Amino acid sequence: MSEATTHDAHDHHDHGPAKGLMRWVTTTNHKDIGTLYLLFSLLMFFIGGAMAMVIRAELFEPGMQVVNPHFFNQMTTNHALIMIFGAVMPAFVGLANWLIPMMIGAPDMALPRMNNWSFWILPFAFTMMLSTIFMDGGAPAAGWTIYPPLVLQTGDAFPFMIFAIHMMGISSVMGAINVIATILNMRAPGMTLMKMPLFVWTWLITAYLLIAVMPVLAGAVTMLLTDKYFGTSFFTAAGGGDPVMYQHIFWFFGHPEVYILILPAFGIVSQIIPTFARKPLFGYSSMVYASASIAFLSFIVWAHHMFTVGMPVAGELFFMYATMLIAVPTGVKVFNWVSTMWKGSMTFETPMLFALGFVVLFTIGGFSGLMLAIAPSDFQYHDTYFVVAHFHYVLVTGAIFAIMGAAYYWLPKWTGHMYNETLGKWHFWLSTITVNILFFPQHFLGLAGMPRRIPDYSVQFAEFNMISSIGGFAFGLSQLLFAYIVISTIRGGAKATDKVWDGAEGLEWTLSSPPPYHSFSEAPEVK
Amino acid sequence: MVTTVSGPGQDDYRFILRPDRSLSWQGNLVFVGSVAAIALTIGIGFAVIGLWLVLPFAGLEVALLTLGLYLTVLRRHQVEVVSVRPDAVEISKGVERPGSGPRETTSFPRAWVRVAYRRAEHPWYPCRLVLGAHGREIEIGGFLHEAERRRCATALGNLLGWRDAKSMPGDDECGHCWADEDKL
Repeated sequence: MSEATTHDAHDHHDHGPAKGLMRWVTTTNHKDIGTLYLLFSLLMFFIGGAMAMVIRAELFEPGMQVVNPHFFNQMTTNHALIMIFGAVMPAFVGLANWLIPMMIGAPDMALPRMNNWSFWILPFAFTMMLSTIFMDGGAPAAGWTIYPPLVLQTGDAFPFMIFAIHMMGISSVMGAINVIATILNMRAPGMTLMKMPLFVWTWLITAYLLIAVMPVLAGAVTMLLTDKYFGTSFFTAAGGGDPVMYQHIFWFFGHPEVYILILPAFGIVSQIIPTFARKPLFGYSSMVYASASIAFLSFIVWAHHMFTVGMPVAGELFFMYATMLIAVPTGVKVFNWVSTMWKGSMTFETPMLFALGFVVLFTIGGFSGLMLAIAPSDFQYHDTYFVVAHFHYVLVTGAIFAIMGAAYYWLPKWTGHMYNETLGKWHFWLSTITVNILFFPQHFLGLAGMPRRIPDYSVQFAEFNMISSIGGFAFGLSQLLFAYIVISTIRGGAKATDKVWDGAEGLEWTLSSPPPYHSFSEAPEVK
Repeated sequence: MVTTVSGPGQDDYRFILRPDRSLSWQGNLVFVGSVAAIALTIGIGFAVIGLWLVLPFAGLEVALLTLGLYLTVLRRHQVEVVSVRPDAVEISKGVERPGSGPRETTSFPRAWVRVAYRRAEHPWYPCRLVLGAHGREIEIGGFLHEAERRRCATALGNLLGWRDAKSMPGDDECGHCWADEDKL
């Protein structure tokens, strides 16, 4: 028999939590880390947004006015990398941190220390990434897809960019492992897989995708590095390599990445709409299977990004039909959201407005995606502003609108304060109107043949570009209102009730607003 | 979750303490297997066409996932058994999995063992349930929900006796139990 010992926790119980800044550096609490992720994401959203303002200022009229072409290309590249890896993905991980434990009745994430590391890698990764702007040769300027051989011409920034991408990948993988371990092992008694909220389901599937494809990105960028510095020829034609192979490997990662960026948004909208329609989600199980189907299909459609590169007709047909097949589970989702609202007692608070904006505008992005999926048509649209319009409808009015809807929906729960509803509605309408002024004309520009990633253009594109830039500036300014609403809600406001919304269902609403530092002092009761 | 079992004798009880767990060892193994199959198939596929650097990253990632799940499952399959017999109180701690016995067993003479429900200095930290005698003490139920731990403390305290009046849970302590002066 062993000697009895005092539990290790004794020491830390006596000291209490770290004070001031160190509390945030050393925290392992899922709510703290969720907050850090969300605030970091907001900061990156504004940095990436500032880059977008530079792009739109330069494109306001034909000719070169504001920046030189090389800097313009640095802005397009870094805008994309920052918005994808710095704004949207960390926002979803922040929401996962805050919500998944509370939704499944767990006290915290499964691996709290790893959770802390996965966040704190990010500020270093993005500081390194942004610092490349000041290096000899400037920041990477080959587009976010970093195709060789162009990207191999990057100056001193090249290895720093590769290292930063590795750090972002490590952070994402650690976040995904934590989500998987938490959801699989820490659900409260009675919380079966098919009782989990849709947000949890979509995140589980997203984490699975992340685990599957992140090594592909890591391998691809490492091979770029070895091609440049270690004499290998993976993608260098002169040494027997194949630059087109890089495109295959990149898009094998890149297309599932698109779904990594949108599946949690589907989950968010599936939480918000039933609350404000005051009806259970229509077709819950079909939503789960549709999400899984989308994830599976995302592995077999990558070459639709490369129709113009050249491939056998059979390949073009396969990737065309496989891509169009994704419309089926996505259509199931849109049908279920609309059916949930059908004959519901709907009210239109700000989260619901953003969810409705998502359904309508994301669907527009989905339809333009279908147009791009048609191989013969894609030969015309490829690398034009039509593609830019398409993916911004999917990512801005899709992913970012969902994140903003989520922020309004759960902010009262997180802070204990109601946000200003009037300002929230102003933010929604300003965003919705201006985002359409920004991106809808880009469809016409693309159809008329304006190529993407150029700082100057033919005068025939001048009017639509000017309209788009005005929309861009207005959209950017509207987001300052969002920052004001978030900060003022954190600082104070009317007291939020525990349930916050009449129609809200789920374990997170059984906790106080704001929830206690450690959730569920009593075992949660799953209905 | 706390399960109480009456023993063969009139004064024999067993308290079995387990954390919430939602997937078995086998379930986790199947999940890791499915992820490994996909990630390694992708890695091997790229290696076959010459892009071999994907494979080591896939291997590292699967290893990290396996380690993360292993540690999680290990924590979620902890079990603590407090056996109260007429002459002794025995506390066994271990991990519930096939072929595994208790990793740590501690015994106190029943007449001397006392229970303390110790409050944390700060509301962010949970309370602690401690059994002790003769200058030795052991914490149990660190993984329980606060209310479960409190109920367990009350049951054990009523059965074995409290360390002192301060060690008993108060009426207002259903969730945020804390005080800064309360030490055994």
